[in-house]
Amino acid sequence: MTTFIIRRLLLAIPTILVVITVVFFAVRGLGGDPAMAILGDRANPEALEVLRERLGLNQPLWKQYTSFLWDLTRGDLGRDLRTDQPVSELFRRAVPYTVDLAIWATVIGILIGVPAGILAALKWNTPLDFVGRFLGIFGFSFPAFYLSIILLFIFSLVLGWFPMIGGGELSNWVERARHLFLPALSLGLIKSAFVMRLTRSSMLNVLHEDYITTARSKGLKEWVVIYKHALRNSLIPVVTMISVYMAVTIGGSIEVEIVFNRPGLGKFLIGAIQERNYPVIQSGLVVLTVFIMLVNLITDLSYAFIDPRIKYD
Amino acid sequence: MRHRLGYLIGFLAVILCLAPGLIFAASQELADKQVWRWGHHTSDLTSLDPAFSVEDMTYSAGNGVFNGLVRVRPGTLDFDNLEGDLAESWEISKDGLVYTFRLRKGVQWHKGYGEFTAEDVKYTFDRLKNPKLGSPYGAKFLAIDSVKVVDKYTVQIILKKPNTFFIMNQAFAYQAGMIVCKKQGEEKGLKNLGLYVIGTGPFMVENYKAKEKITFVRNPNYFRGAPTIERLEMFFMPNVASRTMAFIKGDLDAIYGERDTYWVEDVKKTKTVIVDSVPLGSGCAIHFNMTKKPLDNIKVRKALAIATDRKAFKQYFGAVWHEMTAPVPPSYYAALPKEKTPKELLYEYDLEKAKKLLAEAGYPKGFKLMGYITDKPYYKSIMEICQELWKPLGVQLEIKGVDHTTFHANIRKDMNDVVVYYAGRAPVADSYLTQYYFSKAVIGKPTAVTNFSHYGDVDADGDGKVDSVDSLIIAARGEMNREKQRQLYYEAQLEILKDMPAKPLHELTKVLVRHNWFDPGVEIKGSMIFGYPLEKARILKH
Repeated sequence: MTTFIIRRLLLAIPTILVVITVVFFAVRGLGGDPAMAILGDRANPEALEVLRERLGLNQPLWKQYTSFLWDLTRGDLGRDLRTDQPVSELFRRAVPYTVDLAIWATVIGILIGVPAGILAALKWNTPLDFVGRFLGIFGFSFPAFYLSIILLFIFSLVLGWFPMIGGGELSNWVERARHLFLPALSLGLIKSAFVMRLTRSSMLNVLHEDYITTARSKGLKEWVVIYKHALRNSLIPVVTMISVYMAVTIGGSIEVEIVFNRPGLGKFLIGAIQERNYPVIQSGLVVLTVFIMLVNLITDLSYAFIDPRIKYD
Repeated sequence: MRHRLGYLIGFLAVILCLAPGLIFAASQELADKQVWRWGHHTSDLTSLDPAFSVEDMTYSAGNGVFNGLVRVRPGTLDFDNLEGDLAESWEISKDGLVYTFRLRKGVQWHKGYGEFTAEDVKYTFDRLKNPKLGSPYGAKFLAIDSVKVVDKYTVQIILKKPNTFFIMNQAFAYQAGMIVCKKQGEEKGLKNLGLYVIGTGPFMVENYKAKEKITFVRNPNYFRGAPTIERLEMFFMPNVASRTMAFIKGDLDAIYGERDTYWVEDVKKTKTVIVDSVPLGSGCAIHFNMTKKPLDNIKVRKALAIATDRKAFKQYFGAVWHEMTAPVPPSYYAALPKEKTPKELLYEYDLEKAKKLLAEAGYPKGFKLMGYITDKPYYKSIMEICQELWKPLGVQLEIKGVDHTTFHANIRKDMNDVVVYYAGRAPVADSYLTQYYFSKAVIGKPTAVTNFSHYGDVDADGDGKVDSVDSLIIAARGEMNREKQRQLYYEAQLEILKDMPAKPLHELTKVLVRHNWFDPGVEIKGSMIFGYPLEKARILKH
């Protein structure tokens, strides 16, 4: 297991390097001028030049690239072009909001999606299954930001149960949870549609296997057949897809963070892209890459717990 | 019995007369917590340094922190009756070159940074002029020859050329005209002062949280008296739906609204809501790039101008729309009034006339045009409406949607045939004409600003000579007689209209929205900033 983890972590290095390189050159290919974005439309070329010089944007591209890499190896994510604040400091505050959202949206997605998927598979081709399938397609095609606005309207504006502004203080867990509930529910409900559809189809495949028929013919109780024999075998593709879907969840979190005014990573990234704030975009995407790779690693490790036949030696 | 009835009626009459007064008195009672919560439409702010305050949110947030030398009275745009801010009085020499300001005594900088003096004024303007600072406002302050400290409380600003608009354009409590603290500037070095700035204003910066909010606390030593509001919380809320909901719920006392008539009508349905749709607005024009064919032909530009029906935009923007028939927006000083504009220069909608002009120009079947446009709805809608309006002429306008930063970069590379542009500037004709129609401001030049049509650099009317209003603008700027000066600006605007480098469309007002429990303390007839004046403001019980 330890060897496997070390091997995976080492393999992550070239992947991150590729991501950094692609992101570095891609953001510069977007067009637009960071100096213009900072100084506005009144700045004359002279003022723009002074700022470009100060920000190091006039340096050759290879020099900017190597210095970014060198800084990164020392754990320096650079400075925000607009506010001159260290990016690492900004992210230290922003990342917990995004991680909270991604994790709890996934938890909600699993808690709703897995039982609903099992139920739909067990009641295959019944009205219950049809309703489940309809809700699955409906939820899957529903934009997260729109659901966020609806939830905000019902639970915050009309009922007044949840706050509307910000993400709450990180040190105050109750406040943090109250601010998290609706955004996590918005993303989680959409994710549950995806998980439900996946669990249903995976369960249906397994339920038609011979060993399920054997288990039933042995006289095992139905819940043992479902839980011990069918569910555990059908979970592996579900877990894989949940982890793959994590990137989509993070993408969705950008819209949700803007609607709920959460000062998370998504809000930083979208602003940085609009402003061509290179250090924030580059470092933000590196942080997200590392996060997704960690999720993938945890997913791979979880296979061993779900299926005892899988061993990492 | 009759007497008793009379007393009873009299008593009831007294009660009825007093009741509104009693209710009024109750509603005027101050709330226990004097915290003002504001929702702004941008996702963050970058710097409160006036030399770098270019965004709506930035200079609006900084407005409560700083003071200028002279200001417009809060809640008004009464440019004829300016009042001293940090200056108690001022004099202008007869030749219009020397401005002498006598400063207030005993004004203190925030957080123990000492007393405000003439040295701070000198530092502010010298700093702005310094090219090494790289302020986007720098070029504007090059009009200053020198700043002389006469004594601790008297400062003289000597201009290179007479400029009657020096106060309204440069020495004004607005954007870069705010006076900064020399001591803090020297501590930080010649660079952007950032967010934790030191001012003399009614509020002091307390804390900033990126992408979330900035807070301010009242300045107990404010020279006009400590404000009633103890604390300001300004939230960065770019999503209009959640900003509106938070406001309707009462989590916010005031917000910056949407320049959209449906939105305005919708929020008005909440009983406590007051909408202040006020100037200073943003002027909008569609600029024709005269270096591109067939827009170099005056008949083609006039045809497009005539086919661009202003009423179509009125229908779209509704309550926040104000007709703009001259190159300078109507709420600006020396804007050419509609009634002084000859009918043919109003370029009112006439499709048949437009078709005829286009046929005369040799394009009876039309042509193709292209323009990049930002995703901001009030920009994009202009292009889309023009696309529809020009179709009957056979003119196909290809719209290429890009994000706001790319849009700004592309239009400065001369990539558009037509450019839609909005801007709020110093509220005088000079600022608009200098930035959009002066030859030095033509894009591509080292002195470029926003002259997208290349007016002043090309032959606009086809007579073989370059057409320009540079000399009129310069003459007007130095003219000390107000009436003569106004006429010179009118003349410049009429010349521009004759050459049609850009069709003026409209001025959209600011949309400030508040609950009735937030009392700004003054009547809101206009606002230089995207926010409310706060030094006399208070929160009432609700």
